This record gives sequence, C-alpha cells and structure tokens, in this order.
Amino acid sequence: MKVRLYLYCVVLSGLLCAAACSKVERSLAASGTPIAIIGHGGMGFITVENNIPPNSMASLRRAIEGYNADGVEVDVQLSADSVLMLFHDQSLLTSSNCVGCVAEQGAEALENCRYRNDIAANVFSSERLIRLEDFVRRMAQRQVPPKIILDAKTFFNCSQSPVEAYLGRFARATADLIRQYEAEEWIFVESADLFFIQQLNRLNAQIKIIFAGSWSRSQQEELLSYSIYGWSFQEGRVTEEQLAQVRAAGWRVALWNVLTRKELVDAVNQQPELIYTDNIPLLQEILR
Amino acid sequence: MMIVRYIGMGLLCLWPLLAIAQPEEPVKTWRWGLEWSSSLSYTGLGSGLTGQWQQGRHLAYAGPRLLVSDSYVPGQGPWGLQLGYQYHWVREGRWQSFVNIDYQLSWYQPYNPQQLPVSGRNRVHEFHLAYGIQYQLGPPLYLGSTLGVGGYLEQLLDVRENQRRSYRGYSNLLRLFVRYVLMPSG
Repeated sequence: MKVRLYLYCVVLSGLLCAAACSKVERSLAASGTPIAIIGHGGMGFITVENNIPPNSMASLRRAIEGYNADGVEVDVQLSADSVLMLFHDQSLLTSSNCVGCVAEQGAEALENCRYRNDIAANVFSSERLIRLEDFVRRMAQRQVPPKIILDAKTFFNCSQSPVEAYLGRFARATADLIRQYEAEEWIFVESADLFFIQQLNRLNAQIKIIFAGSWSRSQQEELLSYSIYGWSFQEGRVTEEQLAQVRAAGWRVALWNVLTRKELVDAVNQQPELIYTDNIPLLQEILR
Repeated sequence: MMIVRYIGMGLLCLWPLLAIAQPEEPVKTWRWGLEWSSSLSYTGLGSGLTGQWQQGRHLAYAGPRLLVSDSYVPGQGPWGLQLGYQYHWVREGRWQSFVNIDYQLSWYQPYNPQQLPVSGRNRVHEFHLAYGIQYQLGPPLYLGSTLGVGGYLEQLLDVRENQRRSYRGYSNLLRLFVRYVLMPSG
C-alpha cells in the first residue's frame, strides 16, 4: 500500500514538473538582437509580492539600477500646465490620495499626490507622483541610458482645451523633452492615436514611435506613411501571420501583459525585440 | 513621522502575543525532526526542507530554500536558506501555538548578458516576526501555519555602473509546513 502511495507521489511530481518546465526554443529576437527586458511601470504592477507603486521613482530605479532591466515602460500624462507626469489611470483617486484627473491639475499639486495602493504603501512608503523629467534626468547620467518607453495616456476627457490642441501640447512637451536630453536613441513613444503620432513625426522624425493599436491590414498600410519603429501587441492576442507582416514592413515587435512563467516562455518564443514584463527576475532567469 | 508609523504597526502586530493561556509543561529532552515548508513573502513562493532541534518550548530550524516563483528550470535556482526560532507556549489538546522569528536569505547572480566585469551576487534578506499554530496529526507528525510581518533588505548589483545598491521594504509571511518529529535523542 505504502509503495503504491509513493509511486503515485512520484508520478504526480513528474507530471507537475513537466507542466511547469516548458522551455524557450529561441532566446534572441527575430532581428537577431537580444530580447530587451522592459519593466512594466518599473517593477510591475501591485501583487501580493510587490507592493511598490508602478511609475513611482522607487519602482523605476529598482528595475534599472537594482534588477538591471534593459528599460522600463512608463505611463505618461500631461498636466494642466503642460508638464509630463507619470501616472497610469485616468482618475487620480484609484491609486493616490488626490481626486480628479492629471490633466486638470498643475505639476506642483500633482507632485504632492501620494500613492495609496495598499495598506503597506500607506504605512511604509511615501512615494508620490513624479515628473517624467526627474526620471529622465537621472537615467541620462548613466553610462548607457536604459530604454524608456513612454506609454502616452492621451486621456483628453478631463482637459479643458479642444482635443487637437491638447494632443498638440502633449506631442510638443514630449518632443521637447526628448530633444533636451538628446534621447532619440533611448526614449520611445508608444501610442495608438494617429493624430498624436502625426504631430510627433512632424516635430521630430527621429523619435522612435511604437504603435499600440490593434492590428489590421488597412491600419498597417496607413502607418507606412509615418516613421514607425515598432508595433506592440498583447501577448497571446497576435498570430504568427500578423507578426510576419509587421516584420516584413521593417518594424520591431513589442509584447506586453507578460507575467506568468507560461506567458513569458510563450512571449520569448515569439522572438519580439521588446518584452514588457511584470516579473523581471523570472524573465532574466529564462533568458540566461 | 515614519518612525511613529513603524512603531504603531509593530505594536498592532504584537497584540496576539498578549493572549493568556495555560502554559505547556516543558519537555526537557532534545528532539529533532524534519520539516517541509512552503512560504510566500516578498521574494515570492519558496519551498524548502529544514532540520529542526527542539528542547522544551524552544525550537530552532535551518535548511535550504528554493525560490519557486523565480525558478525557470527547477533546481537551477535561485537558492537560499532559512533559519528560525520558535517559542512554543500554549497547548490545547492536539493544537499548539508558537511565536516565530524567521530569517530567509536568497542569492543569485545578477543579470549580466554583456558579461560586464563585476563580481558578487544579489542578496535578499527577509526578517519576519510571526505567530503560528500547529496541529498534531499523530505522535510524530504535525501540520501548521505561520503568519507574520516584517521587512526585506535587497542588496543588488547594478552591473552597468558596477555599484551595489540596497533597497528596504515591508513584507508579509505566510508559511505552511509539515513537520516530522523523530524520537528523542537522549
């Protein structure tokens, strides 16, 4: 009886291991370059294990300076006084002690907003919203600046100005910052808004733009008239055929929403140039 | 202001220790055993086999730990160790409760695909003060859990700047274990 029980345990362990041990087939991007590990909001979004607010200076610095990620993806919004601020949601109330939207308030007021993601963030941390420039200035001092992907959150519902004027101000502030730090090689701008992309292209054609919209043949044809660096897709929502067409147009591929071991392995096997992950250490283990 | 918050949180977490109950009659002999545990804390899900030594109400344990959350190929790592001390003070039938001081250390090579010339490993220290209960399934076998609060200290290598950087923070501990106590050694 005991022998049979042990046998069951061994077989069960073997099956569990086989299920967990799916391996990567290739560890380079389709272009032959190493896959860039990009921390989603820095160290990723809040989980049981991670209580550092995304887009906070603590999270971004830890991803780059501590975990040696190749870059970070940050969520950028435009304040009422045209300063680029880092925050994910449209409403400040969802994860800070402020109310309203980023677009309704000035940068100085926003810098006083404290993250309140969970009880630990409340009691043990005093992380506040930051200006994008504060982070860029610090990263520009590194020997090799990391990749910074700006996810342009063009929430214009809260802005007092007309949509096109708001998007124009947003594009101007972004282009000015990139020019100021001569960061065309290491700051990338991600957006699904074609008007915003057009404005950026007009202001500085050297800016690397990653399109974040859903794939369609007509969309792809329209994008060919812009200077586009790459296309970002949600992992698991893109086919091999779509990836082949994007690559045939000479664009790079970025994959996001990659957290679990299976998602990471699947993402690596699709050979993108960039992976935005919420689990930097595990992706590093996989790519070692 | 921060120190007041830390003290307040610490006092809040210590209240279970104020429970008054009939103390267990201490056992004078040494006993040793083995424990298989899984724990969830800042470093994620970890699992390990520890050796244990107990005399009376005092129990100490030590052993290796594998970080399951960050392991790609099982056995490859990251590895670590866990050490701890427990004070067993209340017994009610088959139930027993204890206070636990737990220390976990994990280490791994920093990610360095360009093979930049740096030496050293990343280290993560975790300290927790916990409260636990265990249930005696049979004379040698116990099943239990521990719930605690504490903090972590990460010492990470910035390989591109060749600097070691430290980060601190708050951590919770949930630990589940199966303990097999062997016969007293003397």
